[in-house]
Amino acid sequence: MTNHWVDMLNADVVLIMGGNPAEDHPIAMNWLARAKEQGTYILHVDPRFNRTSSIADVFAKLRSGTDIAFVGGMINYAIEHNRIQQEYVREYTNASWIVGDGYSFTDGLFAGYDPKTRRYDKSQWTYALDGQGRPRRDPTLKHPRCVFQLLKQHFSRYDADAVCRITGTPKENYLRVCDLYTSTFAPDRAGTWLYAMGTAQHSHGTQNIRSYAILQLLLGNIGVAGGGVNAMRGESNVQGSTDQGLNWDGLPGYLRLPVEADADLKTYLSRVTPTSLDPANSANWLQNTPKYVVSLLKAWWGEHATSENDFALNYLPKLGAGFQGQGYAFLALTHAMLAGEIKGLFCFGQNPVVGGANARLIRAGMDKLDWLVVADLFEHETAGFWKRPGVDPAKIPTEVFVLPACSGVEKEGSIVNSGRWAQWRHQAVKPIADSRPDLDIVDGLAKAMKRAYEKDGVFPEPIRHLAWDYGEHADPHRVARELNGRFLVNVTEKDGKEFAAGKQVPGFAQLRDDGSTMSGNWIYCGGYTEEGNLAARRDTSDAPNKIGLHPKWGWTWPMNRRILYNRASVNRKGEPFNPRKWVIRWNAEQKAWEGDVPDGGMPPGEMNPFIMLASGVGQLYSPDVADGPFPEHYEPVESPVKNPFSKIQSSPCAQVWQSTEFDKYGKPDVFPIVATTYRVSEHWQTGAMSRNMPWLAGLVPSAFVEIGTALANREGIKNGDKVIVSSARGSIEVYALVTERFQPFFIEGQTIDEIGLPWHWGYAGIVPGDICNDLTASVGDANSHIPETKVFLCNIKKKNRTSA
Amino acid sequence: MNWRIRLTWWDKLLLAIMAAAAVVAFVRFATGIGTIANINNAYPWGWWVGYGIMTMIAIGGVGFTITALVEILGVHRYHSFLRPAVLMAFLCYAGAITMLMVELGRPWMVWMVLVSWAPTSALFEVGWCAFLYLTVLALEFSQVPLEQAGWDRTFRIVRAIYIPIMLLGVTLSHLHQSSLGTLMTLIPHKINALWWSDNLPLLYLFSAMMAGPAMAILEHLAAARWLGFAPRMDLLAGLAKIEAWLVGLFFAFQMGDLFYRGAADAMFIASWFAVSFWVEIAFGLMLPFVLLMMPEVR
Amino acid sequence: MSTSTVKPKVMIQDNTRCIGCRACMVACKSWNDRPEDKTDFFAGAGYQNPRDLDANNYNLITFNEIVTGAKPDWVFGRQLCMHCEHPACASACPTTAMFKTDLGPVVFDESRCIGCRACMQACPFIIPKYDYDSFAPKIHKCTFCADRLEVGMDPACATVCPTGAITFGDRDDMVTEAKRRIATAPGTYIPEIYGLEEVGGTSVLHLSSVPFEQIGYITGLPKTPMPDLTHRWLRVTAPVFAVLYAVFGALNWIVRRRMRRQGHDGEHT
Ligand SMILES: Nc1nc2c(c(=O)[nH]1)N[C@H]1C(S)=C(S)[C@@H](COP(=O)(O)OP(=O)(O)OC[C@H]3O[C@@H](n4cnc5c(=O)[nH]c(N)nc54)[C@H](O)[C@@H]3O)O[C@H]1N2
Ligand SMILES: Nc1nc2c(c(=O)[nH]1)N[C@H]1C(S)=C(S)[C@@H](COP(=O)(O)OP(=O)(O)OC[C@H]3O[C@@H](n4cnc5c(=O)[nH]c(N)nc54)[C@H](O)[C@@H]3O)O[C@H]1N2
Ligand code: SF4
Ligand code: SF4
Ligand code: SF4
Ligand code: SF4
Ligand code: SF4
Ligand SMILES: [Mo]
Repeated sequence: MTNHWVDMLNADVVLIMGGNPAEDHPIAMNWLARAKEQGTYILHVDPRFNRTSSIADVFAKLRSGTDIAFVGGMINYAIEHNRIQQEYVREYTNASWIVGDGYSFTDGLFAGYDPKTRRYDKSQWTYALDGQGRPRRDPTLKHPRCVFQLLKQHFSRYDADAVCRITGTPKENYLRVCDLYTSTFAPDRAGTWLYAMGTAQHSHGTQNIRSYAILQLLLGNIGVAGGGVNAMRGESNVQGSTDQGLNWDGLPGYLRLPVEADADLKTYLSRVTPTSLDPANSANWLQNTPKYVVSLLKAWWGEHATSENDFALNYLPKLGAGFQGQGYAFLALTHAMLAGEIKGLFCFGQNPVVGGANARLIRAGMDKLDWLVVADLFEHETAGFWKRPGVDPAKIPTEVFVLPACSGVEKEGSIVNSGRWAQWRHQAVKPIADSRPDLDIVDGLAKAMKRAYEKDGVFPEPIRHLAWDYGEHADPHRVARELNGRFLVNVTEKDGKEFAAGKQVPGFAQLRDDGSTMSGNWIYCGGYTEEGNLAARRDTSDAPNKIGLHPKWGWTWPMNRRILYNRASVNRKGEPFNPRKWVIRWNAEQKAWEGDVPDGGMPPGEMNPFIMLASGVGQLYSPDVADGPFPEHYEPVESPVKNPFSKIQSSPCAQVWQSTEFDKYGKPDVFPIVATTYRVSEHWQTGAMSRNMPWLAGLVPSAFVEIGTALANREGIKNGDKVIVSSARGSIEVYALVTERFQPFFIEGQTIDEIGLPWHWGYAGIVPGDICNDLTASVGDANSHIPETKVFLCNIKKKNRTSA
Repeated sequence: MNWRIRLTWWDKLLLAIMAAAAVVAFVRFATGIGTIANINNAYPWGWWVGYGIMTMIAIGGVGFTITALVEILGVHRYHSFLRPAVLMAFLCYAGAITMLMVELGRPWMVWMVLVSWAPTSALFEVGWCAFLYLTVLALEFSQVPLEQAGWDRTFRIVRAIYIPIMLLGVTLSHLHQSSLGTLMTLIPHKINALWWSDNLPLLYLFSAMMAGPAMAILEHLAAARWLGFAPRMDLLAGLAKIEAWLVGLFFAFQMGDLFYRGAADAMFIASWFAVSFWVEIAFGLMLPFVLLMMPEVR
Repeated sequence: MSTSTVKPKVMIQDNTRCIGCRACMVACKSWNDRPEDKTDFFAGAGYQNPRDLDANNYNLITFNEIVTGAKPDWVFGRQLCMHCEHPACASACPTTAMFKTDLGPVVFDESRCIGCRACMQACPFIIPKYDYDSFAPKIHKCTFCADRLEVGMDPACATVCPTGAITFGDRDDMVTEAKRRIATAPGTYIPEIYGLEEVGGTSVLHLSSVPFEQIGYITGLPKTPMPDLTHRWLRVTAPVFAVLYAVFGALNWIVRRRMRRQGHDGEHT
């Protein structure tokens, strides 16, 4: 989130699209309920009427997979009705930047597309530069090649009629959403955008989010109180785990892994450190990347990381091309497993044979493993994959180790919520039986590995030299202190400030690239300082601007900044656009900022507000996104509808796996119905945690599919009947819940039905059920590689009574 | 004496019923009442209370009606009906209480009613009255065995206190017969408007009174048949006439009440409630009234 | 604590804020140590489970799909003991095993219960439930978390409700609050507080966006306390007893005197 949960109270309009917080983030509904009581409008856009819709002021339905069309139309509406925050757009976005000649967009494709690799050559999308290599700008926004004009032109095709014809939204509802939401273009009004997996799990998920961001920028809604693009995060500490770089291609703090070509530190750093085209106006904070990288290497390899050995850079694994050139994100990884390329698997707190897309493929892949280590609270489907129904355990060679992990309440540590607040939790109860905190388990593993590598091993140094000093029983405080970082030698800064060796670093501005500081994660630097463990603070007092920042409650990265990009909430003189709900403001007398921790302490003026971006301005046009600088509507990879916007049917860059017998795709003649998958409040994900919890199991015991009354009548299905839902990849048997809340869509003259499957069931637990992901496909987004589990084609039939 | 047990067909049937009852009771205590009664959380009282206990007690009304007729109104012609009536009442009440023990969830706690003070509870009143009345009935009826066993002293004491005890019995009956109705006044939401009335206590009382002569007649006829004496048709005709008047009065009261409450419309709505209401009125009130009013039938 | 400081408590159930998450149901089970339900699919409309309150569920969220024209709506309702100001259940109980406490809860004392189910029969909201399958059955219903109130805690359900659909506090404050909500957002609420006047007032006040009968509430209840219906008769018990006894005594005395005069002594056989 750019903003945070409490900030919802500051919004005039909340748009929830691609998320169902009433069911998936129920505690967050506290803020939404309160906001609503104060008069905030809540708009909900979703394929079906769910528990969130029940409290929304306006519900607008859309067919799964058509967010870009929906939001593209809103962008068009805002521009057509001149509902854009002019000053903000002119000053704080790249609207005025002029795009180079290389860029073009014709019939669904941007310039530079290579159909063989299904990739774009992004170098064609660069800006036009002036003589000094700086981007050319036209502050009047009139230049036909300026970003604003290109944007306007691109989205002019998305008029309300064209949009509703493809999304299936009733036009009246659509216009109401457009009108209410774009009303927040006024500087003293703010709209917040909440989204989650309904947005992300698409072959164009990243572009869905891009479309939200573009609209928010046009309306001047980023950086302000009650605004922002806010991802409601998923797993309890998923924000923390992404911050720590638990992705296949990253390092802690969103630093990037070296690749083969990064022969030395210098090459690597020059590749990963962004440079600004416009240094005079851009703080380009990430130019400090070398300090963060070196401090990280010092944290990991301590005295063995020296300037002589490039701070042990070569101990880091190098990012390769991955399996079949597709990297090692989840889909590639599961295919690699099936191909026998991966021999062993650690599953810490994950249950992929239920949660992973194309789950039959994953189970087949597991059968090929030599060994599997599961650390979990329960013996879930993955831990027991070798004894699943229909399988002869004797035929599965895999050796399985199940390590009992203890749950969140049985251990101490920090959890980072969607709003980036790190909140320290204390141990409530002792772990049951022999279960242990994950930290203990990893600590034991690391120590054993170090002992083994002491003796011998291939390339043993990275393990042997690993700085691993968290105590006999790993202490989470030591880990947290390391993440923050400390001075390794006495340091005197340019301005004369002195820091003694061994002291905690007060903030990432003090991190250094000469090996004199270490920090396990630069964005967490400032959270566990000499002042103590700031994440454990529980002071509810508010900041003077009284917008619910509560700066002394827990701690927020970066530097306890509660609202990211908050310099965009003030004009170039440092005066808030909305003085009533100001986030920061410049006190000219004291020459200091007041309010939230500003995005960079420099005084107001020419310096652009988005300091984490090299350009310093919001990216209406983004040359860095794999599948195009602007979002464009494409149909999902499986869709019953021909894309009317261009001849390109589905995302040209999506990862569409074809290589195995499990990678089959359905055509609308056999599978005419759109299916989506989602969650219910009563269950957690793959169900390991909730289907083993009798009270929850009793509330929602059985796997089911929600289908509309019209479709049910046509298929002769009654509420409570057993039905078979099938896709090109498999079929499952579930109960039918017949409801008016799912209504057919009228798309381009035809009626399209959509059904919805909660995906929480598997063969383990006290209430087992068929695995929904047996139906989903190995299709991934071009940027994030997230599987397209929110939309695919299926068919549904009443279960034949005679075959029962 | 030389007893020889000779079981008649009737005896066998009765024994079979008793055996079945024992089994049912056993099942109930082993597995809870849910298995033996078609009652649920919304309708916690079923056959056992509605038919078993309520009707038993209403039938037991024979005791106080005949007592009142003979002892209080002094219609001594019917004196020969008195003891059988008291016996009948005693059996009915004892039966009702046995049923209650099966029906109550925690019968071992039933004494609680006697050590509680719950003046707002109709059941509390019913409980106390029934308890006292049973004692009274026992005392009243004890004269017979006491006399025959020749326990003169005790017999004399019982006889001496007979009058006040008898009066107590009649009064208590009036109270708890009506209290059973009071019990039902609390649940207008569960009783159709045709039956539910503010005046249920009076209706209950009257229906118990109605049951009195009718039961006495039945009892007399049955006894005559089994013990082989000729029924006193003259007396029976008199009772029948009383019964006819009671039925007539009850009917009038019930109709009056219905119209007074403005619930009369419900009689003419096509519903199962209305149908069963009419069946009840027709066979329970009108038919007997008409029949009993005809001297030839009497 | 002196009794004068005891302020009766009231719960607002604001269904317009309810998102049907059922945290309250789980919290209730947890606090009251109730076992799970053995269910299959859904017993009621939508995701509702179980269908009705029972001995293991003192608190039930109902799912009501309401379609106006082509527009579906999903409205949640809640069933739990209303903790009536004049509880019919307690008034019907012959042993005072069911009674109302000063703080508001109507509670059940197992050690006094005879299992007659008069309380169940009496409750106009059909709330108390029974262990039909037990040898030593108990009556079950929401306790208002009386044991928590005693130590100054709020009921478990009110504590976990994420949206403030359940609000708990002193009677006066809650009544004011309920009225304020309706007054400030007339578009959101129907102008009715369920429980304010029903059966003489209750300790749970429900608010709704749609008429209460549409979400399964029992409506049309009298505004007068239920126990009044029986009180009418029961309060005259003692005088009636006295009068009847006297009348019967007198009649009997007259009859006997007349008989003695006529010179026969009854027909004892
Ligand atoms: N109770 C509960 N809470 C959870 C979880 C859980 O399992 N149970 N999981 C947690 C995790 S890890 C995550 S990631 C989050 C996910 O949180 P959400 O994103 O809220 O989760 P979903 O229910 O998968 O999807 C949300 C909505 O997207 C809608 N949808 C489907 N297709 C589309 C589409 O094309 N466009 C749009 N706009 N909407 C669409 C679905 O109908 C659904 O209502 O929830 C977290 N919270
Ligand atoms: N069709 C479809 N598929 C989906 C999605 C969808 O919307 N539709 N959503 C996707 C999303 S967003 C996600 S996040 C994934 C989730 O997929 P998974 O992460 O595989 O699912 P979970 O059930 O959350 O698995 C978490 C496991 O961690 C265990 N656990 C809990 N606490 C601890 C702990 O402290 N330590 C350890 N070691 N274990 C612990 C739990 O018991 C549980 O088994 O599923 C994805 N799959
Ligand atoms: S599960 Fe945890 S994180 Fe999710 S809404 Fe509930 S309290 Fe919040
Ligand atoms: S709702 Fe029913 S059980 Fe609860 S106090 Fe009122 S009468 Fe008693
Ligand atoms: S069942 Fe128990 S609590 Fe209910 S009325 Fe009877 S004795 Fe009282
Ligand atoms: S007050 Fe207590 S007993 Fe009643 S519903 Fe709430 S949690 Fe359950
Ligand atoms: S906890 Fe609150 S919001 Fe959730 S179901 Fe219960 S009353 Fe409704
Ligand atoms: Mo997630």
